[in-house]
Amino acid sequence: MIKQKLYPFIGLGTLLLIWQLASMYGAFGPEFSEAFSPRLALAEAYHLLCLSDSYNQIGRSLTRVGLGLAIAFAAGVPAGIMAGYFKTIDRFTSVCVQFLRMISPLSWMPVAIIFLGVGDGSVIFLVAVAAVWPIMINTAHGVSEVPAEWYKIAKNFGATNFEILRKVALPASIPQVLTGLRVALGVAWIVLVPAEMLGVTSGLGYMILDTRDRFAFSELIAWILIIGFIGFLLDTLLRFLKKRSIHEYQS
Amino acid sequence: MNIKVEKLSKVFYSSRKKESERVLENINLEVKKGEFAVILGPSGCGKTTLLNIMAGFEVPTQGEVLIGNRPVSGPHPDRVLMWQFFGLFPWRTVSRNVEFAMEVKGVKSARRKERAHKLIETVGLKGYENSRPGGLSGGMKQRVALARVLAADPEVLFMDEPFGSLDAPTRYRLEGVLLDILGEKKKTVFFVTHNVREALHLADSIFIMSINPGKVIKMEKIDWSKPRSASLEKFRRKEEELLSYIHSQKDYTAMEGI
Repeated sequence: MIKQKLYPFIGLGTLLLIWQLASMYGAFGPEFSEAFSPRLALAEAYHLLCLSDSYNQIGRSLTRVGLGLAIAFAAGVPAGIMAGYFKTIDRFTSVCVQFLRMISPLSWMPVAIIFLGVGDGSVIFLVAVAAVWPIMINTAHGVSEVPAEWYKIAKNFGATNFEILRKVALPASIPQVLTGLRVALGVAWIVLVPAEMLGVTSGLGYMILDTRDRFAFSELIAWILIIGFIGFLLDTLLRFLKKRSIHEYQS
Repeated sequence: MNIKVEKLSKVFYSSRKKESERVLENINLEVKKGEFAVILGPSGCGKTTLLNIMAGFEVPTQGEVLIGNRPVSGPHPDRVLMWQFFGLFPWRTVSRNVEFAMEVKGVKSARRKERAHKLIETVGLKGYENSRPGGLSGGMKQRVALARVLAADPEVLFMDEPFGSLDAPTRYRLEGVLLDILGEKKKTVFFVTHNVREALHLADSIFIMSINPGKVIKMEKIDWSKPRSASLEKFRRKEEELLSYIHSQKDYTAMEGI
């Protein structure tokens, strides 16, 4: 009997095995089968993680994602609370939100560069644009699902509208806000890489272009693995936070 | 504060069914400051609607509610409604739940905490200050809700079947807690129930309501000292009397909930 906890590792091992077989039997063509082999990519990833410059690159990327998410959070949570609590505001904004949400954040790229120039500003802007919608929509949904009696109780005790939003609507919706944040982090991390291909000279996206230009293909694969790994870690962290908040909120 | 309900009616319109339903009809009642009034009626007789109107959460179709001679125009911290299903904030600890009303009033944190802890002790939950409501039993939750209401120090308490979801022994204990607390503070209480025995335990005056439409059909003063034991002869006789009155109504099957 195999323990269920081992299943993810078996899945991961199978994926590696398929990759190894593919490279062994020439699926990547005669020129690339060595460069794209898991053996070289993993060795290269290990090598990269021993270099301090790699951490500079990762740090730059994380800073941009962090700032972009912070902006999205600062805008999305209040907007979501308002839309979730005041039905009129929701009616006013819902079509606009659904419309804007469907625009790929990268299509804003030229506009961002015109107004913010080539550099960190544009990357952070694109990340924020990608992340703001899931945060806002999930927050609004969370607030609109808050049992009406909690609002009545707060009002009965003399709470003002602002106090009701801050002391009831927001805390009651924290699990959904965290769901929004988790989805937002996912899109932000995905948008980050292409956004960093636009003029900046550092970060994970830039490293993808840089290794391509240097024909350092096993290093390129190594960076791809690192991008996936960090994204996975961040998502796990948020999943953990959400689990804890739900545990705390069970009524 | 004296409470007066004058010629109060409530009609609900259903736009979908294009029908109107007369939930309350010509309710008149008067309750003196410090009096414990019980509204006794079957489920669906409009007692909750009546309470919501008195607490200011709903507007009557006709008539009005006067509290201390002033018409009710909305909810106010001087008159607080307690809910059957507790309505505690699950993200707050017991103590922070109790502190809510004081927080909103702007009471300083240290004083708030001190008072909350005292009230938590009063309702018999000492040691649970930092627990979350999610882990408490129904009876304990309602104790927290009671402490939270008392922290607001309202003049009038509206209680909508507050012990209705609890088992009989817990209900009996909490009735005792409620009477103990009210013995110290003279508060006017409106208590809704469909349980005759509960009404006889608590009430200074009982208003019996009928269903379809909700009307007050009988008013009964009970001036015995409290707490009252259900094994007393006069208690049993009164219980019998009220039950047979209720069962003599023409729509007696609808009154079966009592």
